[in-house]
Amino acid sequence: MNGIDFGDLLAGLSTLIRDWPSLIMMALGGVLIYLAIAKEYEPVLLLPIGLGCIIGNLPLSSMVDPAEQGMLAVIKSAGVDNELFPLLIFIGVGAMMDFRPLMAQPLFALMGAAGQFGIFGTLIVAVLLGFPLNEAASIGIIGAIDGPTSIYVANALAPHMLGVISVVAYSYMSLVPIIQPPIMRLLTTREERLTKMDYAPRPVSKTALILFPIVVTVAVGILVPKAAPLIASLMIGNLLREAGVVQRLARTAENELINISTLFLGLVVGSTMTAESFLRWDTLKILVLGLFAFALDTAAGILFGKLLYVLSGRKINPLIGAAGISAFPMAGRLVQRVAQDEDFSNYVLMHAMGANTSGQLGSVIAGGVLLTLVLPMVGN
Amino acid sequence: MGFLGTTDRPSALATQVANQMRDLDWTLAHFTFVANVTTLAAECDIAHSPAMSVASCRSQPDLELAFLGESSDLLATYATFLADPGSAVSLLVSEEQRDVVESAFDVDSVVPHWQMLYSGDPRDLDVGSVTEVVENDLSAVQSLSRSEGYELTAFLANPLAQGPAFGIWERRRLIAMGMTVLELPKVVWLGNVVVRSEYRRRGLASAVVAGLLHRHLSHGRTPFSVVRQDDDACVGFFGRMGFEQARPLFAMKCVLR
Repeated sequence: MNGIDFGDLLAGLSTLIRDWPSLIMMALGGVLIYLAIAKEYEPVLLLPIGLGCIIGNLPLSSMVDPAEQGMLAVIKSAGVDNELFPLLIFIGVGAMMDFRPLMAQPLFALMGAAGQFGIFGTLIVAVLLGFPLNEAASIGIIGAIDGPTSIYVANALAPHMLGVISVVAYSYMSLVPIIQPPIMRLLTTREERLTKMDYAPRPVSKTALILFPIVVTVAVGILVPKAAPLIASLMIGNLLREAGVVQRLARTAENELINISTLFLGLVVGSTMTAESFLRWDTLKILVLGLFAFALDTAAGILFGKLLYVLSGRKINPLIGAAGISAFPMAGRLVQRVAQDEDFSNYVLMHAMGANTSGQLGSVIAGGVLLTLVLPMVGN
Repeated sequence: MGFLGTTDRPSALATQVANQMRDLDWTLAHFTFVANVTTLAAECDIAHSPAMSVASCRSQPDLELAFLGESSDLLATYATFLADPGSAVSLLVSEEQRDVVESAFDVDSVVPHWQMLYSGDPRDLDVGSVTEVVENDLSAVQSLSRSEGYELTAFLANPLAQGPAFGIWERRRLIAMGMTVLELPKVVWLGNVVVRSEYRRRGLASAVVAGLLHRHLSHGRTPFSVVRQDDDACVGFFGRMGFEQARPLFAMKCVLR
């Protein structure tokens, strides 16, 4: 019988001392957990990401070792590498989405398109800064301000950047209330912010609500095939909601399905945040570019809103354009607050929600467009 | 009216509410929503369409919703524009609205209340030695409510911000108080009537409420109060002060789906 090798008991400690950058990553995981709990910054995602980061950087951790069938390795293989979890999350998101504000005011679909400009603008800037096209596109997708879309696209184009892209995307999503209002005020005049809009929605029939997810799935699937998985997942969930006959499925989608997928996705994404992939100067650049993408989205939406303000004879409040992003419903609420800061009786929330819903849809389509354009160019 | 906003063109909602407020009974029945569009407007978010309007006030520690409309679907949807699914919300609603709420949200608790409307004779009011409680007296107000284990009903961070409050002092110590909980253009909610336990049964509560009634009636406002139906002492007290049970209201605690 061999004697006990006490060195084995200390192997983790000695590995950690040698691999000190992992300690930094574990501390970063702690920071994410702190932000999730103390500041409530996107806690549903940042908390599992933070914990995943700590687990993934534990020395000799078997949880992330595929050879040992580690739990996180198995989950990664089962639901992240093949993009399953983001799609399951989209089913849940779709079950929670109400497209009535958009369908009642179709004009605001344009705002959702304008609000995606940051994705493509940032892609160009990232390329100019020397990032390869696949990485530049993954950075640009932060401008979707949509976690699952960012993860889906980054995983397809630059899986080695999945961790940093996810953390940056979710971090900025939680900072929407800080980032957007100054840009809104900077780019609009008081007179524009004071614009009152009557809310006279077109009636939306039950049939229209049911047909909408089917028609959008088919239309987007034909026009932007790479976006089909994202859109189809979103619309599966939405059809469950609007059909009105499968409440159990709809509730499962918007609760258990999305919660379990989010938990697993967060843990796995966190576990991919290794020192090697994260502690690089590029991470700082990505942070800055992510903020740039966010700001550019907001600015483009507002500038488009200003165009509509002029074309409509000053009947459309340009602030609405800032809601044409995916951060729902926060962006819509912020538009209402900024408008109310000027005149408390200015109720633009419903218009903003129309643009915000459109932004949700727009970000998914933009992700598909990005994959369609970039994947062939990078040889996938 | 001042609540129509700072621009020349009032919003459709403000105009609609201004028109409906001509009916005093409507205003009393929907006072929580009216408050969100009038005196609390600067602190409130409102999702509004012709079929449903839902308001929430940012200044309150707990999320309180008020609404106009009959569609539970729209209520559920608009509420999620204002608060995240899973959020706990409170509502004070009429009997008709209760059904709408029960269909829209998951209900945790329902506590029946009476809206008691003042219909007494102002000449019977005996103000006694009450004095107005002002903002500088806030710490005394909080001390009294704390010592009596009473949770102040307040729609703004400062419970004295909604309108006049009256109290009775003894050697610089506040021993009884009553407040304007909510002041709307035509009606006022009187409440937060608290008397130190050792000074009860001396008519102090009656005096502070008389002071409030005197002030508000002289300005042409209709006073009311909201009391729990199972609080016999409170219902009896306001009854003796000349208040009548006008309509049942339901304090509901719910969770957004």
